[in-house]
Amino acid sequence: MKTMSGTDLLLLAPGSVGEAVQVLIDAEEQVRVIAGGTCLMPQISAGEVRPEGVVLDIWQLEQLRGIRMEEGWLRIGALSTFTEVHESSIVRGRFPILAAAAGSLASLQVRNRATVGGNIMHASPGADLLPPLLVLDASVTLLSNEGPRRVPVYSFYAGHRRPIARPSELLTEVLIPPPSREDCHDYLRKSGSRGSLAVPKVSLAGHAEGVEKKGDEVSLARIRIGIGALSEFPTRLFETERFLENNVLDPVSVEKAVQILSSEITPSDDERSTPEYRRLVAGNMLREFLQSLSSS
Amino acid sequence: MKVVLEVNGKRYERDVSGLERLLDVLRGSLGLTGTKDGCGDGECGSCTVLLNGQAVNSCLVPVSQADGAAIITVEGVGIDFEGDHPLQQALYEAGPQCGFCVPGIIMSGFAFLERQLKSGEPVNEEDIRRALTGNLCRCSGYSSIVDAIASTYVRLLDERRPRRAGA
Repeated sequence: MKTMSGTDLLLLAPGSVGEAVQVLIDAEEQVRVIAGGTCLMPQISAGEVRPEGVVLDIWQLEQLRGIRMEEGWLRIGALSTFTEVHESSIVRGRFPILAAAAGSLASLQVRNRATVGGNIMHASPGADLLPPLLVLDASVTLLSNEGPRRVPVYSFYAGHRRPIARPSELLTEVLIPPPSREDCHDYLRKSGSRGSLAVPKVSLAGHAEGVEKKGDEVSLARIRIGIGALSEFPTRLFETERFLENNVLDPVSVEKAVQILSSEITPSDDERSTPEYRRLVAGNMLREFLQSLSSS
Repeated sequence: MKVVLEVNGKRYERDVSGLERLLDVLRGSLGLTGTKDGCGDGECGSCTVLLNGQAVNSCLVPVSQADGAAIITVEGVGIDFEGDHPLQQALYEAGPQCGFCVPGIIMSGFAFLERQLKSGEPVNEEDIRRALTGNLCRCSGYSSIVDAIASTYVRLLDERRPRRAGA
């Protein structure tokens, strides 16, 4: 393992995933993991990382790279960059909503360095990959010296910026199950101050399967809705989903669904936006999604 | 720690602290001050360089991760031309105002042109604007920049087109 020090921060660059996990176990102080650096470097520059701390560099761990299909499942290595996910023919072909979300982050310069694992672990409420990962039933693999464990993304956060990963665990990959049907309809929208380089105020991902039109009514077999940026961490909207799976869609039930969404969310009041605006825009996004199902 | 950086085709060996920003090593230790320090956050693009062929914000790259890499900065984009790269000429003629964004714009524009020249497909304004989403310009309104990149693309496509013998 390479050990480098200079400034007060100790930078460790292990040669293997096993060594990296060992650093996490052995360290007495909190270890900050650095992947592409897009989140941590500004914090270090601003002096927000404790000077006597340890920074664990995992960027060189090739084992954590790669995007591949295995028995119908999509496996994305934690160090996959947003550019790699966006440009992957596998992701574009089978899980286009994820490719689209990856291509919508920040800027090309950031996407060339930001990683999937970093996006999930940094736990920004507006993390761009979370809404699509939620609606695709994704899970993550956390590795410790006791071996790997898998956690579904919908239960990955205990609170604001609090992933449930233990300090001695490393996120190694993201797993997405095979799409259950061919006839899926996706929706992805985020609302921010500008088209790029903007943290969103609200973002919504939707994934509907088995959509059937009968006259003015639309029924669907299965729907997933993931909402990000508007509260402490990205979540599924389980009540809204349940309502939509049990009722045909028509103009009246669409408005009912928007009401259920509104009661299900707890939008934040922060420097980016107000609860009222977030509630309105989230409802508009859901309506737009549901109306697109009727017209497709 | 010791790092080896290949910058604009030249090899540099330096003793650095691993978490130093690549931006600071380029500007400080290497004296290549063309790359600018705008926001330190990855939000303005004025620090854009090419790292192993990809445009990145050098304010976000720890120099330890650039060890052994090939880097191109604004000082090096004209290497294949006598003097300035055609994109630099086009941007100067477009008349920048404060000029602070220009090195970063040159790098993103250069990266875009290199990618597009591989396919030789036509480009539209939307393609160029998308390539520039990571570079902020507070002065110009971007139109003159987009035009400069578009005209440079046409010029480079034309120059790279094979000539018939005797033409």
